[in-house]
Amino acid sequence: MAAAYCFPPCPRLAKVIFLGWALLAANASIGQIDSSPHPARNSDSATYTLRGTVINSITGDPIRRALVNAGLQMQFTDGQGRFEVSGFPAGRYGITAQKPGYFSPSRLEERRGVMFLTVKGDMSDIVLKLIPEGIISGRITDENGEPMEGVGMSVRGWRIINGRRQQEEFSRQGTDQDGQFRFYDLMPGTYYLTASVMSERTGVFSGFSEFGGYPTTYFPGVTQFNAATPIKLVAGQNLQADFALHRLPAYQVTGEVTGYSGGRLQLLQMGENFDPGITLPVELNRPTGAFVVRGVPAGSYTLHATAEDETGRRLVGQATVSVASSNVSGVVIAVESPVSIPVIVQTESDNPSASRDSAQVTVQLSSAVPGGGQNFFNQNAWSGPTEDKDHGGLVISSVQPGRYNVEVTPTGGWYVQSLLSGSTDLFAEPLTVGTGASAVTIQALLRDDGATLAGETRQDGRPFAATVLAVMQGAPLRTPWVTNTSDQGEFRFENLPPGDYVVLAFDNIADLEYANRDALRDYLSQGSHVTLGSKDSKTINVELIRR
Amino acid sequence: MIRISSPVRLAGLLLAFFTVVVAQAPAASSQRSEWQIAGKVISAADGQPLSHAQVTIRSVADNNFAQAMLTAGDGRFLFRGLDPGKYVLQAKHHGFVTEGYQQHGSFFTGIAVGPDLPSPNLLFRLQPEGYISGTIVDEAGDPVRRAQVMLLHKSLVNGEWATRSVNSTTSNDQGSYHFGQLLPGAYFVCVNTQPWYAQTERQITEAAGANAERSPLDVAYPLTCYQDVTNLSDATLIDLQAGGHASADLTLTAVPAQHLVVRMADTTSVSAFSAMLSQQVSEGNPISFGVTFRKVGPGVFESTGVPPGNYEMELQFYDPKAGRQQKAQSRAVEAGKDDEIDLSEPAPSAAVSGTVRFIPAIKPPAHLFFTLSHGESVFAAEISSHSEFVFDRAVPPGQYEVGSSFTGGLFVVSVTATGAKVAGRTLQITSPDPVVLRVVMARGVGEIKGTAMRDSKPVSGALVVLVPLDPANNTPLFRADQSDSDGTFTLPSVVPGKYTVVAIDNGWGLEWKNPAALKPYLPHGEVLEVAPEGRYNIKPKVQDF
Repeated sequence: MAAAYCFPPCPRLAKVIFLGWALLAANASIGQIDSSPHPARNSDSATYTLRGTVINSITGDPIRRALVNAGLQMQFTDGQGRFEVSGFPAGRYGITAQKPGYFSPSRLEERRGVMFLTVKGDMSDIVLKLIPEGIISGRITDENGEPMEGVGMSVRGWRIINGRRQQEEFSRQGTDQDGQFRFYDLMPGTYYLTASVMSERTGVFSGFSEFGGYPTTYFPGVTQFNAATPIKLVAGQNLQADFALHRLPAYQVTGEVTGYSGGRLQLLQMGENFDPGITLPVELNRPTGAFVVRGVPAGSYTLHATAEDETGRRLVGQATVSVASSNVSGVVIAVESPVSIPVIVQTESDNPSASRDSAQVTVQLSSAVPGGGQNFFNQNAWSGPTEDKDHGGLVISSVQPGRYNVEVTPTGGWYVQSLLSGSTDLFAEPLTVGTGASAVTIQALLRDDGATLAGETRQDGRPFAATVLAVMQGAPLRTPWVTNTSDQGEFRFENLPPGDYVVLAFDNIADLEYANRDALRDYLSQGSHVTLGSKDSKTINVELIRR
Repeated sequence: MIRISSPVRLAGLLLAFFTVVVAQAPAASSQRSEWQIAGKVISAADGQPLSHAQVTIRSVADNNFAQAMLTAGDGRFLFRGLDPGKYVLQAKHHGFVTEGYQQHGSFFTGIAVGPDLPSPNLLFRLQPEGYISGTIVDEAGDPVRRAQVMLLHKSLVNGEWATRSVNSTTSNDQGSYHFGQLLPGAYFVCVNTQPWYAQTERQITEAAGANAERSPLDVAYPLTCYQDVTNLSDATLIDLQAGGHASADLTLTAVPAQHLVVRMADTTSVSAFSAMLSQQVSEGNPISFGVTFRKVGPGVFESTGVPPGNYEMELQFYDPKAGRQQKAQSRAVEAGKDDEIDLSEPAPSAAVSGTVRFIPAIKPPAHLFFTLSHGESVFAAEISSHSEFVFDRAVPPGQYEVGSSFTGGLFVVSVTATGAKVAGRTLQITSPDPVVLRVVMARGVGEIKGTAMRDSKPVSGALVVLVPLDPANNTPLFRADQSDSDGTFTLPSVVPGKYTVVAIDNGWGLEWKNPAALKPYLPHGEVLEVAPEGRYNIKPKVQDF
């Protein structure tokens, strides 16, 4: 992404402005759109003119009819991508450009940086760069080379959300009468392209009869996800991705649901593991629990059953089925009470006036999969804010068996001093949840004597805008604390737990899976070390790391 | 055979085809599965056989039974080993419209096999696929992406001519759209979108008031129909030939957005509320979008920008006195005439309420609805346990057909009104005065089965229509079906009363809800009086169209 930016002083261009986000934020705080410039400072009555060009960040070509918003004055660029807005008293102004088919740099980055322009006189040669969208288009054919219409195409990839890698579907569409599809508005990134012969309207898998059909196929035409080729799309790339689907035999999956005797079997669903949106019709005998799923292509599936026991309590069960080249029989899905995990929150304070009621926490469980969570089936099992009125009333319900990273986020000036499950330190090891009546609890201890860490980020001795991470040592599962600096590079963390930290400053953290220590490993040696005690207030300067 | 779900978009037909629910005796399982359905898929254009067409067969009785096969080089298909019963067939071939066997709109011919029935040898005609495509650009010639493009089709559906929205798509990054799988006929294309650069959110504060300056980019695109007109009545009809291709490019031109102003009692706690505006593209085919109203002065609210036009506005806001969302108000507004809407005045739409008398007297079941329908828009009010109903949306003036949800086999026997005119099952609302209805309902809808006959032989594929007395005022009582290969048909949920059943060979061009068009067929129809819960089996004589 570095190619898209140029930090002042810029070698070739007089000025490059960061676009987007800051201006939106500014609009929101001003709360009023004015057609006149809106100065932040105003020293004299002289007004100045801003001139510049909007260009494609990859080709450098001017972009015509882009909408430039400078200090809330709107103007379209001319045929040469130029704009000229005047009437600006001295001051600082947000400036942005937009155009369908292009992204503002800030949309690609999680960092809010230098996005304001300080006007002291007329300015010319302002260059606003817009990043062109990526396009993936192609044509789906059958084994005879005939175009296939109505094939469900899906573009999926990972997005880093709060430093964690999560699978996401970016877009979905059906092929047209010529078997063609076209995805646009794609940001640079890594994508997987899949084709499934399914009905978009009903969600019922219709690609199979008992004579076989088309399994879910991944670009460039393989039926195993492990063999799929990821598409690395760069800005402005127009990628052609044609591939063929092949009719394969279909199989039958049979089995039974057990464990609800005296109760009632409610639902049994069979979903494809890669794309849970694909469900296959299940024929279910509710009284006996026997089921059959016909027309199943080779692949990996999960069956989810829900039932009620005789008292009306909810029961759940699941089974994973792998279909290779024959029918699968004897699948048993035992339903049982879903696991509930009580979270016991305790507070400790040296301050007699501290309000325990202000200690509310959010608990999030995310699947801890070996290999840094680089798994398409990774889902958050539970997340959400919960009020903890009586310090013990918080329960996470319906947790599926598995291993989870646990994250507890407190509010109101508290930090998490320790997080345990029995004797397991959940800052160092994941939580293991078994089936049925396993008694798992989480104990969180909160304190309110956190430390403050402030500082400046610099490059070659000059202050520089950045995103700053405070990484706690010895607690590999603790998500680093993150903040953005001001445009003068100043940052400040509050309520940090006592401990040893490595502080890192990045020019951008797009695509950085910072909650995963493996992803940070290469950077940790470039950070600044600091040890914080209770109620400490320290200052630190951090050198910028360019990504 | 008919699909039960009534108005379905053309593109949805393919799937709706398989949601058929028709009463049918279960196939005797002891019998040997020795029946078969054979046939040949040909092009309706030149009669040439179509190879590699996918033919799908599904059992009416057993929803789990479905088979598909590809036709051979001579277009032939053969399904063997079938249990006796009725089957529905569908054929699909690249370049042709996917259809059910002898499909006419929502009707098609089911294929019956079993003892005493001839082994079917079908000629399955597929129409070459027509398509309409085009490009949408803005006033600067830039492609308009993500525009909602609507396809309207003027056709004879359920016995009456109507222009209905049959499909909708979204333009891509090149501004292109494509509607495929089209039968020949009359089409219109309309586009609903807003400029990417529009700044219609004025963010007016109370201090700046209504005098706040409007942005030059406070603009909107009106609904635009091919060829660049803003009204469907001025639109160019696209006459699509069988297998033909029509091109319909549109250029959108932004116009200054209009801002609706609402006045209401000055409740200081309300600073904003939202409303839905809907615009009729054609009768009964609305498009809707949301707007936000913000306070610009004491008791004065102004909307975000909307294109000029006539709308039905429905609004909902938090009433602090009542402590809940206030019931939606609905009224007609015209954006572009600086219309000020005074909410302290009663809405110029009728408030409709009523009482129901059940014969015999019963407590009404839950989820029983009384309905007023107009084209494809249906107003529904649930009948309370006290046999009363109130429409929570005001009903604008117009002509409505009265009906019910048929819950528990209940049907409307008669309706009388104060504040509106009633003729048969047609209600005419002419003024904004409140309308009070007195409805009589009874239990026991009947069902008519039968076989369409000519010269004592069953006729396949005939139109069968159940015609009520005074047809002009009783359109909700009509029922229709297409006879299956053994001549059988079913007319479900028949409201007790006197009817004539007519069967017409190839009557698919008949405007059968029009009494004048029906008249010549009625004398040769079969008259019958349907009693509550009545079950009938009749053999109407097939007439020529």
